[in-house]
Amino acid sequence: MHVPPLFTPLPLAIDPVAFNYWPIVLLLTIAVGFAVLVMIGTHILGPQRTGPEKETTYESGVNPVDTARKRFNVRYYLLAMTFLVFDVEIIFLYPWATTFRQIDADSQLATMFVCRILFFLLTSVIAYAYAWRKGVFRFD
Amino acid sequence: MTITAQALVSIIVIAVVFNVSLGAVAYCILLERKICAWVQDRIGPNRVGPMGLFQPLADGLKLFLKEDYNPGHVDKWLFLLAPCFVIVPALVGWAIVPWGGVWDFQGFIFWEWIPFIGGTEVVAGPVNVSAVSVSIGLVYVLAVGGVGVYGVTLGGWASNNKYSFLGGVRATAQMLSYEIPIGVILLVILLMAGTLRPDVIVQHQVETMWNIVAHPLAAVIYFTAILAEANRAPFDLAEAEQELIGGFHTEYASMKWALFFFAEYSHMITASAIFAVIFLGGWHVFPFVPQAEVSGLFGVLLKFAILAGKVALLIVFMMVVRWTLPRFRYDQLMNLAWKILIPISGLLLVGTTLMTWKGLDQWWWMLALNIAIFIAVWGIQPFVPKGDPTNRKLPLEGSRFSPAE
Amino acid sequence: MATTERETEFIVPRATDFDGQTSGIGPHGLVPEEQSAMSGVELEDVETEEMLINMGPQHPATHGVLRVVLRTDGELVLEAVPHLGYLHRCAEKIGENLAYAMYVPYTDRMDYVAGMNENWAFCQAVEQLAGIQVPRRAEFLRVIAGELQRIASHLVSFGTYGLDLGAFTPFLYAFREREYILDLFEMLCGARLTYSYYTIGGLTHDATDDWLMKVGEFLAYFEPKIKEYNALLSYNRIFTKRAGGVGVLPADLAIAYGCTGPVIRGSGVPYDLRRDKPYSLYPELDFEVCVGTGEFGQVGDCWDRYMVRMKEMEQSVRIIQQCLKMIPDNAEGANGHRVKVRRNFKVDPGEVYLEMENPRGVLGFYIESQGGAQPYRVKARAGTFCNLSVLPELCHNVMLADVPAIIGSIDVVMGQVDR
Repeated sequence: MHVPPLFTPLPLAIDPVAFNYWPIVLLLTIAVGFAVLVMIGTHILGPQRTGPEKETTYESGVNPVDTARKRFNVRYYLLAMTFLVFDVEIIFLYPWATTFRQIDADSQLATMFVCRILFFLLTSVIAYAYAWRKGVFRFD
Repeated sequence: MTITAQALVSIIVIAVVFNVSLGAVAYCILLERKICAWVQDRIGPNRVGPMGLFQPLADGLKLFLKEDYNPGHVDKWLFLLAPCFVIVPALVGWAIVPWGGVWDFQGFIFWEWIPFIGGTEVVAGPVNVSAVSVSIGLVYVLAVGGVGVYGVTLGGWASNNKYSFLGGVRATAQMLSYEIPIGVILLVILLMAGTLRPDVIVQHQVETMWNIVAHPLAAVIYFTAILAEANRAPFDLAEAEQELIGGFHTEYASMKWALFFFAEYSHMITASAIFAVIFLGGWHVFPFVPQAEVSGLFGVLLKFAILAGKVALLIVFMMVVRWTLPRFRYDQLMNLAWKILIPISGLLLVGTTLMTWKGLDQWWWMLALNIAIFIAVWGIQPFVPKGDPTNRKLPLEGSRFSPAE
Repeated sequence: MATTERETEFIVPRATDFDGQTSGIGPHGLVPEEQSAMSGVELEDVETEEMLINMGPQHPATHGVLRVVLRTDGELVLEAVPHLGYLHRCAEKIGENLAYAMYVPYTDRMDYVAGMNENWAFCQAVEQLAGIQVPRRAEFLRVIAGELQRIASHLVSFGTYGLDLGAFTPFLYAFREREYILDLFEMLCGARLTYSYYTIGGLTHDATDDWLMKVGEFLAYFEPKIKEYNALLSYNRIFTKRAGGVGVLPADLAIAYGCTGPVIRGSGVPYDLRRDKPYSLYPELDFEVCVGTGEFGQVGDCWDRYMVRMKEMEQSVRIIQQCLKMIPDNAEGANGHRVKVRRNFKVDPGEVYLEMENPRGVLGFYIESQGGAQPYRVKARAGTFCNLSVLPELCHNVMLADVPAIIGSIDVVMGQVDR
């Protein structure tokens, strides 16, 4: 007689390649554990004496004026956006750079690859020139 | 029950390197102070223990016993999260570093009397002596480096302090900007080696030539960028004491502050290890000289020692740099990244691509490429339009000194 | 977040934009009424806000308790307003209640980095008022001690300037050499910081020949060090980029603000009282007046002001070497280093204003006597006060990191600014 199992195991479809990453998970756990333990430890060990003066923001010894949470200058945002563009482009290039050597250099495929990559880099050069023109790289 | 040799080695490497790196971080701080003292003609810490050797322990104890102080005006959860976000990437960044190369592991069975793992069979096979042996390799470096930015940003934002805020924003801009040259230089190295696996990159260097000889310009750019990534002088703008008190960690105290401090040194170790792996030939002792392969556990330890020696030398170099150079200004730092390092590394990438395509991928051709790019950049430097060298003093209405025209 | 009304009134610089237009980006969020008045404006929704940053009084880079309020837009400093008075000790008022000789130790506390020169200026002013002639050997010793103090003071300035730009090491080198000078001073008068070595009518102690020899040894040791420091810091590329072309002080502006000392000489004006209004033995001595050259930017930038100090140290070495050769023996008697002056001597009614070239600029003492043992009024014209007043002019549209560079190049000592 077929007895249905008490529970069905979860379909743990872990890709065997992805499973190779378990040491990173272990390392992450240890690192997070270290950070948390240290913070809890110092919280327990240290004294706790607070006061109104101590609670205020440090502002070179005078009463703080104004808040730090302001709409600050936009050029930091521009920089971050430009960074995103370039960083994503770089990541796109990684598979190509890894496999490029495996292609026979004389083949048409290699020529095509190089041309494509150079075109791709050209687009980022255009983006770079545009950003420069727009003053993203003016920091003063 | 059987486990693979790689699993066992991974666990051992994690256990060993994690603890070694924590100890190394503590002693890096002592080393930094000693080197600083040596540079500055002082004695340095010498009170706690012989030659001040217990100083890190005393410092750690002191920091643990200090008040864990959360100011009332901060965003509490982000404030607590920030040190974790800084320390965790710094501590996991070295996972892909091939400390001991490939080890042809002899299988064995654990003795029966060992609890839990007794009788487990360890399957023989070649293993990578690194914490994790995965094919993405260097992409992991980039990924972890990207996470490192969050902690600094969060710390600056959560502190609700103007100095912290500016420091956090500065650090974010700086670390973001210097990630691009790092990414591009890694691409150049990938093109040379044709793989992302760091151990294969080392093997490639052992067989041909160290990348620092083949790509000196790339090595200089990469080293500059890792200094900036680790917030080390002369790029320590995020915590520029003269401008921003303590920068993003102004409001932090006790071990929460120490985690930021720890992370900086941890970053140095990780970054130096990766630099040693991709540019200094990993466990290869001398360039130009072929090296006999030592097999077995002794070989692994030897390789680890050589790599650790290179890391130590790089760290000492970073420290000497710190105590020698003045700090950059924010705009100079960003100009260095966006207008100098990124274009040059882009040129290097294009040049390496074309030369690899044409089959000129021997190290001397690459060296020639680097020299050519260096000369070209140096040559066109006088013709590049320069900005106004003075600070732009805006004209003042009705001023005798700087009248509005 | 205690934004009291008083605090707000006190520090908020009014936002008139420097290009002459009203920017509309005033310091919102400061005054509640203003904020509510602006809340309907749509433009405000997209504008970035300016941030007021306090640098000081408890700040690592403001050389004491200077407080500078910066109005910043991102990294750009739009306006810097110095606030003084955190070290005010009524030094001038105290002078009205003390006998002349008793006031000398108070002058030490003004510019505590260059105490000798402060003593000297006050003593010479009193001597001029009372008509006292100082022995020649004492004059030589005064010049030697004064120039040694100038070297020590410029060393501090050099070291802290490196510190301001993030180079820590030159600071300790500078203090190592300064320590040598302080040891010499200790041998001379027993004190290391506040000497009161000059007294009315001469000096408190005579120098031994041994001491003079030690000064010679120090100069031989120190002279090559200046070149070393120039190689280490002055011509460092990062340093020249940080200091060159930053905080340019045009000559006319420097003159208009009454800047003196290395600040005005850095702007290319060869104004040095030791040569232009000679006192003591300076007419007999051979030295150059160093001016800024604009080697790394424009004449009058931070690098020039810094470099003037480095060059002046060489000149001071030259001056002391000449003095060591020319100094007369203590043959005239035991008290060749001073003339006898009664402790509570009375001065005839009159007034005197005497200026002297101090390391940080001209220090002038105005002393008015109405007869009696105490002055009626003592006023010190502090060089650093006038030099500091030029700070808001220099801090228009500079980077945040330039502000410490500019303050450091002006080289303020708050003790002298506030007195």
